[in-house]
Amino acid sequence: MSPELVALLKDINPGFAVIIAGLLAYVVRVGVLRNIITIGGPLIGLLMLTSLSEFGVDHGVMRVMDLTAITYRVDSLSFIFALAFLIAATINSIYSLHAKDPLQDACALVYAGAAISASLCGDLMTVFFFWELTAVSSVFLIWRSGTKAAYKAGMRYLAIQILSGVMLLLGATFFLQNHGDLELRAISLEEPGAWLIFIALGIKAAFPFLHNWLQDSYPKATPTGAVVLSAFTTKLAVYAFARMFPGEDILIYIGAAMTIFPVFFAVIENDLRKVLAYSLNNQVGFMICAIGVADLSTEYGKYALNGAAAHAFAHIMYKGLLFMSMGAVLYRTGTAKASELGGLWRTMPWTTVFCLIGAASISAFPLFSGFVAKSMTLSAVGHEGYVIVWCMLLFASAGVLEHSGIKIPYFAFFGHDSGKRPKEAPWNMLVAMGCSAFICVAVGVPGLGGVKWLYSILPYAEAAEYYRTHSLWTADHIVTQFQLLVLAMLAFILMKRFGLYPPEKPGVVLDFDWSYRRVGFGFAKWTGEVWGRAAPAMTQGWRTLGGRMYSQLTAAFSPEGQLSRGGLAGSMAVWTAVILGLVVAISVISAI
Amino acid sequence: MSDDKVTHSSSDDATPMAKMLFGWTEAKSAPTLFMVFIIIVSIILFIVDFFIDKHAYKPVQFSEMPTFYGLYGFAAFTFVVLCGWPLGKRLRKDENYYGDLDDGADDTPFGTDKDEEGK
Repeated sequence: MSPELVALLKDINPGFAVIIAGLLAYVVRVGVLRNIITIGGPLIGLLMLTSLSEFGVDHGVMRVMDLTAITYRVDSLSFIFALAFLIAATINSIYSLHAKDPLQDACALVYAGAAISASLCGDLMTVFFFWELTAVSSVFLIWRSGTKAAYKAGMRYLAIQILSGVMLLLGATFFLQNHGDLELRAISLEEPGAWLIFIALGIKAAFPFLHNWLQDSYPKATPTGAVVLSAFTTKLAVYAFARMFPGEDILIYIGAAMTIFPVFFAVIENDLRKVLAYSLNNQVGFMICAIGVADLSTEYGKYALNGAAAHAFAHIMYKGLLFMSMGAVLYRTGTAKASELGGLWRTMPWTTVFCLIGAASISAFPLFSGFVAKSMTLSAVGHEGYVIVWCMLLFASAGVLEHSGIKIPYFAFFGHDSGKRPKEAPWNMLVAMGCSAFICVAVGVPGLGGVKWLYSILPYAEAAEYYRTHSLWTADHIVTQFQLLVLAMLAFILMKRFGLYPPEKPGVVLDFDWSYRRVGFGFAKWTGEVWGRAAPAMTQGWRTLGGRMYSQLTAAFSPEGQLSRGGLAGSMAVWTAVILGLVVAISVISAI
Repeated sequence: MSDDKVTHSSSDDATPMAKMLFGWTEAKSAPTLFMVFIIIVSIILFIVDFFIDKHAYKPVQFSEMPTFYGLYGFAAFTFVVLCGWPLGKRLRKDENYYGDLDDGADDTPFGTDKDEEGK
């Protein structure tokens, strides 16, 4: 490669390569060529990031309206997020090969590219641009489902995502006023406008009461669309929190709440992709909590940030894997509802194996990625003395096993025999699931080099290495984790045996979105109906009133009116003179 | 008897790979054996717990109590699942509660095998 080309590539954000690949994928209609582009784009981005990036150097700096836009900046925090995004984008492209859908290919890549670009830029204005691009490009992955429910969910999704963008923009104006520039940095919530940015990020991270867009839209996306959606938006928000609000106390409690409440919804939810959406919420909670503990002036604060970053990386892989396995089931059977599934292991054994690997990883079984990723967060929370939060995270860990570790594989592939005998997933889906499963295992098993590699790319690699060699593979850590999970499994087996496990039933589970989808919508509908009835009567009333006023004014002020009759030039002139005189008198008095 | 028949015929549908990996789950005794296996592993983990050296951080030192994690996991899991009964009764509504589903139309999303067969 020529030095000029290397220098040029060093200046370009790897996310741009993915966006360009997305645009090309829409234009190119030759199947093989489009496949090469959709996989090649993220791969080129991966090469650019891993081989050409320079830590701490600003690239692609531009002046826009007296503001400095830093389009490409890599450091140890952004690197791991961008790397995870690029790997996910590559795997997602493989997973989508069978679909042969230019629109979905294009939207998936532009969306992924926007998230990668946002994680690799150095100022809030550029983040805002890509923040909005993720929203606009990803909504098509929901709409592409073509159902009425998907259309409505897409509209709600778009509305809240755009709201997040608008709040970020407003927050950015305050940020500019406070700091004189828009360069990304950690800020305090006490700064004017910081709450606007905080809530904007909170919407994308699906904070409690702001979370429903996730469970509403992801399960209604296409089989491939949900896989793509699961990787980027929430983790981009996690990155932004880690960048702007590390060590912010309130995040500890928000994160802890996020780990708990989805567990209860997931246990009664019938749609397995919606269960995964709740599970996503729960996992992001761990990361948010870790960021809250991440006071970077302390050693354990660094552990916590490492924990958030490692968890994000591992989560993107295993959550993608679980969504892929459910996507394969949906693709082959036309449904992802637990009440309609069961016994699919008979004809989808590979998908079953991959789903089980994803389930073991998310449950944090030793030898799988979740174990090496999640433990730093729990250590930091425990060390810093957040006892109740620590207990909540431990509770949520058992909850994760329930909804993602057991419920997903059990009800889809085992459980009662639904009688469905679908074909195994297409080869490309199996390859994609195999890649994700390989990563889940490789970064979980000691001795394969994966754990060491993952810890070496964390924001505070030295602290991570110390943790790996002193705390990760200790006997008590392994035994206690096995205890937590195996005894929880025993609880499942006993409850199934004694009929205490709630049956899977079709239906919609009400969540907070009931407040605006039912109450809010009902109020708006009622207001509309009241207006519809009142409007004609009010219009008539206004007309009558207007007509009477017009008649009165005409009677008084028209040339033939009352005030024009008599006197030198009619009463009008006299009254005008009187009022003018009064105004002059008051002015003179006030001047004196 | 009829259960046996169903089990037999459904197992016949399995691919060779599936039979090799998961065929054992079809055996009538599999659930009991699996339960016994998990109980034995649980007991072993409880016993081992008394002999290992624990290093919990001071604020959460109570977690050094033997069997703490096992009991906590069991209790948490049981609590979550049992909450599913009242929550399901209160929160589960008809599938078209929000009126989002297409009336009489196929609600299968675009991009599935079923959808492609329908074309």
